[in-house]
Amino acid sequence: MTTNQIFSFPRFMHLFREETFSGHRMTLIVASVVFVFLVINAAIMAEDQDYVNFHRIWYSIILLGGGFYFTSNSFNELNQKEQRMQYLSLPSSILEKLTMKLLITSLGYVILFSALYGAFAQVADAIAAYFNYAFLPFNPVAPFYLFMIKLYLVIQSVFILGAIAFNRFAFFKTLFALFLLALVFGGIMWITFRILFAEYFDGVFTPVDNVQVMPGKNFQNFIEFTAWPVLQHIFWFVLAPLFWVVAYFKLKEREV
Amino acid sequence: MITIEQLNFHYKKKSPLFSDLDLDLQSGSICGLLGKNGAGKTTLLKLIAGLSYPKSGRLTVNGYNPADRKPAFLADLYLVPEEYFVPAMKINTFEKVYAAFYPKFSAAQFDSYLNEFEIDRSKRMHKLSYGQKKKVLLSFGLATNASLLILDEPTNGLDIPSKSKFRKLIAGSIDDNKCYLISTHQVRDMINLIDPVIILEDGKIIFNANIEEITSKLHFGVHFNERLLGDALYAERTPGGYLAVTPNLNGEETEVDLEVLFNAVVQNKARVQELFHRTLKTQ
Repeated sequence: MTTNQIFSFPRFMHLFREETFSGHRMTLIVASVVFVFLVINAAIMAEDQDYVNFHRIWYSIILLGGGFYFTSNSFNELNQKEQRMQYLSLPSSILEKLTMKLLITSLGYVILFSALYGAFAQVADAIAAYFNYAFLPFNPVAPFYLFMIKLYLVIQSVFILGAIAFNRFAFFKTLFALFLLALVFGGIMWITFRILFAEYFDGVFTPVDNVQVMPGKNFQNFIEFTAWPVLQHIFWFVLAPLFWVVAYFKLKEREV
Repeated sequence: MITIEQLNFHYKKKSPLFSDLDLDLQSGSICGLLGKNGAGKTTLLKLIAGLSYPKSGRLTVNGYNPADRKPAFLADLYLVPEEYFVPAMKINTFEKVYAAFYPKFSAAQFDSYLNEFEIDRSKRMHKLSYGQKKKVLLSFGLATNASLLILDEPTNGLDIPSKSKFRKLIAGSIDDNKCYLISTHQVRDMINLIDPVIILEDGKIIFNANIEEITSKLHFGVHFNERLLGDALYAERTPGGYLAVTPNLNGEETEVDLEVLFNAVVQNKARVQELFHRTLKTQ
């Protein structure tokens, strides 16, 4: 019997077991430190009695910040030559290896983190009650939380690519790459704007006196009803799959 | 089993490591890959294992292109590198987790190899010494029954009794469906084990012959009189005289001394190649 060389569920389960048994000591240490920090923070905020959105803020910060950091470290096997050799020669397909990491760092992380935060919220609410205060309740299926989860799942795809592409300090390197990208994109937009509206400029950056550039009605409609919805669709539905595909090919081309 | 044709590889564009490399290795053999430091041995092993990609040329292992890293290809290959990573887990857990990836893995064999090396399987892998870790990986590699087992400096870090145990296990586990490819500097550890012998120098295979061919063409022996060394391909002074390798003119079979053979090939490449080439032509 020939097994599928692209994706095999039994092999995927072997990989899952391998992931489970691989050391996650550092993740546990960081999670414990964050938990202690949050408990202390909850006590201070409850005592001050002016921090009703405690759960919304801290859930979002840790979901996004912690998740991106966790994702950036998900391909730590590729950082060190010996470990990379072992990981790349593990009999499993590239798709299985990428899917496994993706599931762990996206859905796996969101579910586990939300569950742990739910447990913490009980503790925080009890602390607040002790100080005769109440935070707005934590409800992971409320629209605000679901929006944050959606946002995390999309942006996380950039960090998974960074985790594969960069050796060591992938989190900071990805942030830096995003910053550079934004700088280049912003620069191109500015130069395009400057060229298109050259007649309204006096010098390189100074607009001509008494000129107010106001977009026409057609342009406003184009932005509001065409460009913005298209950009939103690209962000929510195209960006993540695009980065996953690039991540797949990046992982495929990794060598020792 | 392994076919390499016109393979080119470089780390830096201006200094190619392999240029039009050709090699053909058959199953049922324990191939010894010898060479000086930087000759390209480890790189060749990585290319065969699919861990590095050739720039051009053809490389197939069991009909697979290693660069595709297909699971079926990886499941039938095991690599024990010189410097390796071991996960922080007990040997028992290591077996449970990783054996599942290798369909021909034999738990009984793994157990017997560990016993042979006197390794306690309840110990944590990362707490073992360098040599003990290597013994676990060698045992695991042999127990996978992969058709291609690649060992890079397998005897580095092994104590003296373990080296002979290693030889015993390797010799006892090879069969017609397997190929063991061993890269080493420790040629004395490979005596009576490797066949054929492949010598790599500056990214080129300068010697590739099996033991039968070597013993029929070359004579290894101690000479007491320096004047008799005139025809020697290589000679070195020993306390009892001169250890020399000479063309085997009278068909006497002698035991191959791999170290002397290596020195003869490296120092007298043209003559050795001519000798083997001429003999091949007349066969």
